[in-house]
Amino acid sequence: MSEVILPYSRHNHADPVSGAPALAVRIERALYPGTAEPALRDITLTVPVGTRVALVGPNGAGKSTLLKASAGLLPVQSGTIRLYGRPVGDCRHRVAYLPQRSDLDWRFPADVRRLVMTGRYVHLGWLRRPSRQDWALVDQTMDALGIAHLAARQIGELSGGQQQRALLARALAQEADLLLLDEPLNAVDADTRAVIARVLSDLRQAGKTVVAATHDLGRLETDFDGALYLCEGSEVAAPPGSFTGLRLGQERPESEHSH
Amino acid sequence: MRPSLLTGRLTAAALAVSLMLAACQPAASPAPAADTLNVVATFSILGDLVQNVGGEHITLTVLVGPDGDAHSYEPAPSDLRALAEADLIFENGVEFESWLDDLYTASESKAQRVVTSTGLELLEAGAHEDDHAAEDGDEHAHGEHDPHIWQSVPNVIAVVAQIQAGLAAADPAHAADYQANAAAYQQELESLHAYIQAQVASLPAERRKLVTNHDTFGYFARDYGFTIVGAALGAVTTEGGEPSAADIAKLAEAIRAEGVPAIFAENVESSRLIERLAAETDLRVGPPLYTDALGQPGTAGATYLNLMRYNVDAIVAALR
Amino acid sequence: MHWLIDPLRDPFMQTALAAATLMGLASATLGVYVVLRRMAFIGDALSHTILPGVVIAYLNHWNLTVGALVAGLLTALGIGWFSRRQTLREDTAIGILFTGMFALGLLLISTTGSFRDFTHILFGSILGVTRSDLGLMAAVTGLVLAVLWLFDKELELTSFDPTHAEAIGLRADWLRYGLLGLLALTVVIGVQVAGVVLTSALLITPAATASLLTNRLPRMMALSAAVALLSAVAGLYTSYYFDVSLGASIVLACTLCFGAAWAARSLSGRRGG
Repeated sequence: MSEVILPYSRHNHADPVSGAPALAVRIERALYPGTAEPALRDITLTVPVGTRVALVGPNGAGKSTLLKASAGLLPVQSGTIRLYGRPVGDCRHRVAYLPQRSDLDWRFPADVRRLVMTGRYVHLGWLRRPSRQDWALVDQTMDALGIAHLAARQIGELSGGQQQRALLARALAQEADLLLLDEPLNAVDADTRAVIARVLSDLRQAGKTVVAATHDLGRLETDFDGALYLCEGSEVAAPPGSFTGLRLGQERPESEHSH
Repeated sequence: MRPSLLTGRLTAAALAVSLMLAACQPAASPAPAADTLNVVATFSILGDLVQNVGGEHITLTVLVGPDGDAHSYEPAPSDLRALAEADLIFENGVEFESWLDDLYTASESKAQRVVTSTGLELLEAGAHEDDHAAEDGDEHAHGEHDPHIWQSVPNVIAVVAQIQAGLAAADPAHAADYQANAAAYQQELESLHAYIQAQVASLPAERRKLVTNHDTFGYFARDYGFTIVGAALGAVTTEGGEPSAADIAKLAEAIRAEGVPAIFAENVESSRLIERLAAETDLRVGPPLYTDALGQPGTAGATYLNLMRYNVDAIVAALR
Repeated sequence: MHWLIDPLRDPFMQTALAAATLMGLASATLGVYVVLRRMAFIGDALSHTILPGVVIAYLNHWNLTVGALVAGLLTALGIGWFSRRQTLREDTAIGILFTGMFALGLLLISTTGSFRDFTHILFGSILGVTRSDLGLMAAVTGLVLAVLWLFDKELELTSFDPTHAEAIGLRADWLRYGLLGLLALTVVIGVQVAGVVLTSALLITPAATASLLTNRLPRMMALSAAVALLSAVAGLYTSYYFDVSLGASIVLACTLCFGAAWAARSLSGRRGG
């Protein structure tokens, strides 16, 4: 009985196309429902399997929007997004999305352990309850992120950094291959920053792929393998002297770089 | 700040509880004497009629009491118990007591139900309005009737006969008494009828025009020669009913055109709309009339006979 | 001990207690989501929106309960549809549909020229509940509890993190439609047998009381149900011994529970600093 899975969406578990990049984005236009101005324009991004990529830019640059579109939360009017060679939504269990903290209702009466457990839901589907293995994995993940002692706390009682770790724990508990992290380092304490940096490096060791939005230029070089620079919804050239790493975006003429 | 807030809250709660306790009398179930009939009447006016016929042989419980509105009636446990223990239930019918079926079933009552309006010639709901607004067409054609039958004394004389028959059937041993009581009371009703006719006759025919809160005077108008110019709330009954702006304007215009001298409020309902209408038409507001319920004991409308006398006196005085 | 048993001698009191228990269980557990998702208006709103359904059903000689149910479900759908993807805040959508539907009902009534008291259907009395009503109420309560039990993790997740739900392919809006549909069902049945005030109160007050006392969802639901049941019993005795409206007694008992929880919380909060 427990082997029967009723997935939340039908095409949940398609196999990756071999040799395809973890994330391949070619967007001409994407906009929020009910708005006229496109939130994203002319973006091309290829993230090879096993790399860590930063989306860099000021607030409103389109970093979150690009992550949302990749997580299937925002329809793309013109253009395509492929995850492991498959359309968005074909392998949701393989993709973990870490939202901005403001997307959650933190006053809701859930404890931290339950929040982290929601990372397992994509594997459980309808009607199935978490197994002992699921709980063990959740506890182990919380332990790794140093929040095991907070397991029984109501989620609203956590500090900002603890909330961020809990969200990261959930993304890890999902055991996804591609992690889309929206501002994981935003307004967190130094301890959390160190923990997250360690997680990013562990993920790379484990062969996982990470795409993270950040407006922090300081640690790009140590934490990431490549960076895509965004401004006002479009891809822009890296500022002079800044980290670029892997070539991820459009082939740009040299003149634009020197500009 | 906090302790005082809390104390305030507690005081308020205590006050609410004591008000609640003060508002309700301890459960007073009428002690049923062994040889009396347990009788329930649904509302105060009907209760008065039943008491007059039943006299000492019945123990009467009235569900909707004086000044009570049968439309927003909320039963207490004793009401259900009265239904459960009743031998006989008198109701008006004509969908006046729309809640009775549920309560009757819930109480698992075995009582005989007597619909006292049986056999009366009923008015179509809103029919008299059509004298003035014939263009309304068939909007009223839903086979509904005006339930306010007690506003005409001849109706009530027939109702008393129904009550007498009902009591006699349930309690044949005292049938003779019921008949004597009913005959005596019907005598009084006849003289009431004559009184009303005489009072109305003293009013010039062109002044016999009524504007009230609800359409409750249909039978009164039919049997005593009045014209209903309109009702502020039309046929809509009680909660939530509101006239449209056009309705109000139309009514105000009709009132001016007809030269109605005064308009009336009623005892079971607020008179806000009537007052608004009066302000708009520069009319006097007559004293509140008794419509669906008796007045409290000691008031002019404490019995049916006094209620009708009061109403006709008030109407004639205001319209003269 | 007679005073404990006396109120339950009358069969109508037994039926009323059973009805209050069933209504309390369904409303109080569902009410936890109503309170947590900040839709406190919904009970009152749904109960008023059934008016046009009743009038239309009456004019066409249809079953009034079916008319009420259709109107309630349509309103639930409308609320869900207008507030999907946060185009409109849910409370705003509720407010608009509530007043619109009620006005439609009044407008329809004013065209019928009827003496019939349509709004009566909004003021059912719990003492008028019949044994055959109990079957329907038990079915609704069973359905509500079953859905809350079977879809607990999805309802919980979509309530506090709809974004994650969407990201894993769980349609938050479908669950919201489901929740609104259950609410419509509960409110429509509740209003007809117990009246609008008791129904709205049972949906909000026990859950709000429980939310003051715990921040664990399962415990909150259990506490909410306990408050509703306690209030039903307390209301029953109050109504019996003071011979007052049972519905109003139950509502007041709920309100007193809330007051007590508030006081307890304020006191312990002060002690804690």
